[in-house]
Amino acid sequence: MVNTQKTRLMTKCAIYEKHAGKEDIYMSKYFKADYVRWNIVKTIIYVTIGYLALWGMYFLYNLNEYIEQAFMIDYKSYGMKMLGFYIALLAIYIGICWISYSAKYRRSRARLAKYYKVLGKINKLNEKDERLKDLEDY
Amino acid sequence: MTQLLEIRTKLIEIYQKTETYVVIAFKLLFYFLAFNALRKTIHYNARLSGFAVVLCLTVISAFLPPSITVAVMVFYIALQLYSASPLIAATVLVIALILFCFFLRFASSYGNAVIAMPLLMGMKIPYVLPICLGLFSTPITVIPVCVGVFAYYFLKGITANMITVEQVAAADNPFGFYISVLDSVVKNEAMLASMIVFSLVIVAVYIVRNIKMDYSFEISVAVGAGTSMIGFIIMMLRYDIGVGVFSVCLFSVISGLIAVAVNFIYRPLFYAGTEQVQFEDDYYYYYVKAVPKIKVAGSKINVRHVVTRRTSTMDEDFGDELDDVDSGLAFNSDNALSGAKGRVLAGEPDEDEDWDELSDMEYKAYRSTRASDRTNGLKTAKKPSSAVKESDGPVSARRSERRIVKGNTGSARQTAAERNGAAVRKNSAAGSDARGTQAAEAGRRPLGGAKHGSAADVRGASDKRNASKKHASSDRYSGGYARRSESSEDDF
Repeated sequence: MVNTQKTRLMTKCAIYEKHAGKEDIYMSKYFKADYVRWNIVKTIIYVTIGYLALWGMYFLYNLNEYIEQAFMIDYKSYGMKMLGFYIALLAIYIGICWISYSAKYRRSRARLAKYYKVLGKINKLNEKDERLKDLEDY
Repeated sequence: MTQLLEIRTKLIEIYQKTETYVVIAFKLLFYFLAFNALRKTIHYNARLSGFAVVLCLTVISAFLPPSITVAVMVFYIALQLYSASPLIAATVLVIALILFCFFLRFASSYGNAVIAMPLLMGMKIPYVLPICLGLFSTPITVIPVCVGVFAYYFLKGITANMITVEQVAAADNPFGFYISVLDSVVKNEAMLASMIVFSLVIVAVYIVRNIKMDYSFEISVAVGAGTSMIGFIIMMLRYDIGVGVFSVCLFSVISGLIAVAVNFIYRPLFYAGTEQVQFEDDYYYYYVKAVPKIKVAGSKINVRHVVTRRTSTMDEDFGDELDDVDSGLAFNSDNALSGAKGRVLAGEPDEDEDWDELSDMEYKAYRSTRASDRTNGLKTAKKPSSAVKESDGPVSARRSERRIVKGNTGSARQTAAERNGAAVRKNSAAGSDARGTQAAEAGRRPLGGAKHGSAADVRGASDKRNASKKHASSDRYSGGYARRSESSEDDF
């Protein structure tokens, strides 16, 4: 016979696993610091790619000016300026990532704790069912 | 209001029944509108602008995640532009890459908002999206909305500067188009102003809806509509955004009404029933405000004819049906045969389904005999026959209690039969041999009591959960319905 309570709990678990659970279970493989660091590394890579693409577009946009003033540009200060922008952008993104991924990890752990609690309940119900089955067989 | 709630319940029921198809249909419609708008805006490649291509892309996109669909659209735009100017096509891809790296990867699940925003801006009704996103989502949606606004102005810039393929091909300097297209975005103050206004709307709606006050959702919608109205009127004074004051006001109000309607379907709250409670535990003192959700079951009436043992003739049964029709009750077409069926089932009880016909005592006795037989290695005791049941007093009493009319109640737990004047069939003979039947209006008769034999059971939707385990076996026999007299006792 179908155990309605167990079915309800299992449905809850399945819905969680389908949506937020996927990422939460993946995140549970990491410690918090490792998870945040790994995401910061990914962010650095993405920001670098994005910045280079942006700089490329900006360069093409001002190509005529650069050609005209090719011998008058102070390349050192220009390079420092570009680097300064890059570091500033990186600092902003790293800060945002640190805060947001830490909060994300915290929320994920809270959800996962609830999920394990429900799994424990299901386990208990399974044990109860098995005991009843044994009793009936006896 | 009750009617609206009933309509809402019906809509939800329909949606729940047909969820898979409805979702796919909406996706198909949405992506078709988006691709069709793109096809009409950028039509530099005749093959890609064909209706069949658009239809194929729509069908493919309907089964892809929203973020991938955005990528499909980007590639579609790039391929279209490649025919006119490879440089502009490459620019589109690079801009998409930049947007992804800096912004969209933090809100990749809101791909549909990115697609919807330029679509709605093209239709001149973009105000509804920021309000709804503020109402149901988080301020992170500022990112997809701003990207959508950017996409709209960028595409507009492309079409304004690159009118025909021939014109582009004839141009001496391909960088000229590149610069003019980028200028249309970089130097576009109206675009920046739109982004600011929409971001303000999202944040304002989000903040107001989280304030702990009654009707915060409705107020937040009004604040959102007001913000967009004021913001765009201020914008109009400075920039030419191509819309008038009247249309901004009108569409803002319409957007607000749509958002209220969506909110009503999503979460109708009953503020009059707000509970404010305070309690404490070892660590905290709690101030809790609980606003109940309104839940009204739809007025659905189902009358299930249950097997009865009758000696009545077919003519009498048809007479009963006519009575049912007179009293406004929908009835089953094979009702006339219920008497015959009843006799058949009663005479040949099914091995699993006739336990409800037995009294508890009989059932217990049978179980204990069966158990003792098992331990003694004997053959299982024979189940009591229907002949025994018929002559047994408790059985008759139990059968007579069963009054079955299935209905779905309203908020006041009023039975469907009471509200709609539905008839209940009743057996005039209570557990005796006389089995004449007659129809009566349930709303005018007491529903409890063991005096009447029954053919129908009245039950509200909320009574489902109250149906006791004890009567599970009888439920099986009577088509899965609990007795009303017991279930109504469990209601608060």
